[in-house]
Amino acid sequence: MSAPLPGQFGVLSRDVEVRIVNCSASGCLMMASTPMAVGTTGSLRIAVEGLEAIDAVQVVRCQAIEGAGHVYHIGARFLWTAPPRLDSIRHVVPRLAANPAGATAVLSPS
Amino acid sequence: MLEKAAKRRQWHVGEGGTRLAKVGRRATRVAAQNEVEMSGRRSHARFAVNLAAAGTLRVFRDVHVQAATAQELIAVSAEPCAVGQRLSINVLDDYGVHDEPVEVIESSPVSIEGGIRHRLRLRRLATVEAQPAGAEASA
Repeated sequence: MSAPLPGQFGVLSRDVEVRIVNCSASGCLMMASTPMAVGTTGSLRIAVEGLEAIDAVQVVRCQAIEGAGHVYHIGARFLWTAPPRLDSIRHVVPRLAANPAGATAVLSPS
Repeated sequence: MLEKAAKRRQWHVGEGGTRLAKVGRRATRVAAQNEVEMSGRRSHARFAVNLAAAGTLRVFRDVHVQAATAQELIAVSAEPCAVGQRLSINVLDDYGVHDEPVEVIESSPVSIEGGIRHRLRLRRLATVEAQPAGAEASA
């Protein structure tokens, strides 16, 4: 058996490149070139200090940025779909709060 | 200028022009140095991050595989896909998880049981590799 068979259920996954604008312990704001339907769930993966951080999110707002072409602001809230983990994006937020002077530097480019 | 904007956005203007967000009956100072302006609706402080911080949002959708050949898959989805879009399809069965990159070559609406679904023709971009359960443990 090496291929999906007719009649099977499957999951299509799509990767959307985003830019993180800001984040909190409860959610984050992203920019993307494609709109997202409100209610869409997915996993957000970012690079933090050389490590990958990941969290499940649900889109709660999607708004086109006026005058920016096909650029959208996407607001998402974090979902508790698993116990807290060290590589959770939410784990980074307390570090941001503890180091406000470096708040813009803690999340480094991937 | 600030007063006009504050009136439009229902801000309070504090001493020295500091903007205070209106939160019900009380106003909260929001002009922290590294903190993004808050509307007052949120319970957690937000922190601006480097605009260069990139991430990937992976979103999922259920599909029902109707037909499969060596080159293509036919799947039915509740939502359409853009032609040319590259996706990944995961199928779980008794033998393991099949993860395969695919490209949408056609997306057309179909009527199924009184509802509108979308028939997707997917080009298989790589050979499907079976991943038997426990393969990593034995490796």
